[in-house]
Amino acid sequence: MAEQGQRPDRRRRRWPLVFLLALAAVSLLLHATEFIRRRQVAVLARSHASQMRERPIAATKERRARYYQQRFFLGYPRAASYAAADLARRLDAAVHPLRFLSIQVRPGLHDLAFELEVEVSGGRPREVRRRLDALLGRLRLIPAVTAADLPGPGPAARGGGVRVYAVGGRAELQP
Amino acid sequence: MRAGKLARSLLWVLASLSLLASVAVLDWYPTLKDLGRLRRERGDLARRIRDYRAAAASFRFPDASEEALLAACETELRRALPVAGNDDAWRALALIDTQALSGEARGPQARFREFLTPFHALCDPGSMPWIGCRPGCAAPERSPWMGAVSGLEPGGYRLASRPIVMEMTAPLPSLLAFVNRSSWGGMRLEIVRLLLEAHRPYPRAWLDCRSTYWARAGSPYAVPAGAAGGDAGLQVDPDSPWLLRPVEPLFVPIAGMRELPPAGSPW
Repeated sequence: MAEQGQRPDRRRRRWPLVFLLALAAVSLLLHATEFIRRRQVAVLARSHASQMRERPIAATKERRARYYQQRFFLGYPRAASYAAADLARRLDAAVHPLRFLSIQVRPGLHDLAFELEVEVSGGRPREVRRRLDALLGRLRLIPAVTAADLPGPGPAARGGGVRVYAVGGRAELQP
Repeated sequence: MRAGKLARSLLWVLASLSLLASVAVLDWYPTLKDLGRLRRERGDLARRIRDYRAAAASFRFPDASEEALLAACETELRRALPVAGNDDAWRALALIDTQALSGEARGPQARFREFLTPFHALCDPGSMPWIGCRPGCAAPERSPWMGAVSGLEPGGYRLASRPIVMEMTAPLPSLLAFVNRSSWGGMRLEIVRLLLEAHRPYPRAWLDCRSTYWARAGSPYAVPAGAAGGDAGLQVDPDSPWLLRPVEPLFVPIAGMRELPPAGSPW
């Protein structure tokens, strides 16, 4: 009878230990899983890094891009000088029968901007407008010219029965 | 007695719950968060490895012939640019080119002048005011070529950019030939701005050019690293399908020396 009374006491003393062991076991399990997962991530990261090192796609694309840039650079001066001279030649031909005062061409990397100052003398406003429209039509027919227009409705300068108009536009620069 | 036992039991339960809560908050919760993050990282890396493997399988890496093309282009570019160790060397090279162009000024009243520094143009009483007042469009920081040539500099040299201004008065066909041939010389002059003015007896052309060359490191005309020029440099689309295959020289042909059509030609 006395022994039976002792067993519940022993059970009562054991349960804190069991409780603590359970807490420790859960913590250990979680930390072990974390450790394993960290190792897996490190292995994958190393694998990805070596993959990029052995087969460098981005670096190869950059080398090819620079190749095309270098070829463009090598051909640009001659392409630009020819395009500028040719555009000036065509603008001069298109201006007739009007008279040009100045032709300005500014080559960019892929196209040219131009500004043409023309002199329109005499005539009524309607006649002047007709001549300018005809000029714009001829300019827009020039191959490679992508835009040609008057920046404003009125002349850039006026005096002595002569009006000066500025026509601006863009043309393609072909290699 | 019974109340005492009950109180002690209650105390033990509360203590156990507190311990459980502390362990859960201080240890289990952060660990579970880390586990979630690591799981996502692992999934990301696995997906990236899979995608990269698929991309590399369809990508054509350079072979011997493509490597030869890439190397030849770099060599050609290195040689194409003149090397000027100092200011005098540059002037000598520039004068050779400009004097060759002066031969285009044919006709009894034809005239040719070169200005190797914009300041010289300001001092010349015959110069146009816009030459001196215009912002430095051929200034080193406006050179668009840094990205294309970086890494190819000869030892101790850097890419440099310097303006040259030329003026010619001649019949129009000669003027246009002069403009066209301005880039044919060893200096590889690039036209930045061309102005043709109607004058009597002959029209006049002003050419504002950029001279790109190799200069000693420390030159005031050295193009700063990172300069991209007014057109934001040369942009190549990184997703272009042309970059997935070996380089094709015909895709960007190098312009040769071409004469303009004869005067009066409809072309």
